[in-house]
Amino acid sequence: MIEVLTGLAAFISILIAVTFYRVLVGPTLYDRLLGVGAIGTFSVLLLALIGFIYERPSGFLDLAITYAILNFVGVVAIAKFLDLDSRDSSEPAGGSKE
Amino acid sequence: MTLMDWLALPFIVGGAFFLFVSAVGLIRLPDFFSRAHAVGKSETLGSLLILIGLMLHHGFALESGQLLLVVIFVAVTNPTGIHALSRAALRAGVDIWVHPRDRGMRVRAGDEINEPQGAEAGASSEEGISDTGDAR
Repeated sequence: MIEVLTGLAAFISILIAVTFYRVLVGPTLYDRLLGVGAIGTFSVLLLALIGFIYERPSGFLDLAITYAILNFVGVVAIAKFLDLDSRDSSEPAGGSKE
Repeated sequence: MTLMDWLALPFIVGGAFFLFVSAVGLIRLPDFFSRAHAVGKSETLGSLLILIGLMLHHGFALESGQLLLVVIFVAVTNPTGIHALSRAALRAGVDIWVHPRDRGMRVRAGDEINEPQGAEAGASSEEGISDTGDAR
């Protein structure tokens, strides 16, 4: 089972590298933030898997819970900030509508 | 591998499949909202399947309770965060991709109507008719 979990951790690392493409070249700011949120969720899974691979899951699962909370708070805070920002200014941020 | 590991293996493989689908959707789909759709549903389901597989692998212990906390938290917060991001993007007016078949429809209330694409199709069909007429 350790081999399966190690292979899955390597697979998730590859997925993180692929997702980072969207963070680098995303056409809008929101695409980059979406990629950052996806990488945060992948990192939670990677932390849990590393805990089970090294057979010391308790501490790593605490880290995973903390990382999930920080990821959620970060994404929602930036989304709310951008929402207020685009509502205050007359010029829309991401496109040419209105 | 014990029996519980064989029970956990389909969950882990299915979760890896859904994570792969979400990464492909994040790279390949054409606009922000469809990418948010790929990440918001597929990645949540893949994460839940992998965490449930880890719970089955570990058995009944304290760490499974911690994994249950992670499962509940990911299931609640991942769609919530992506929904907040999508709402901010919608209010900011990020461009929405429209299939070429659906040009000429109104995407959002208040938008101008897209360029109709029927002119080329009509011209080509008329051309075909005239071609057959010449052949006769």
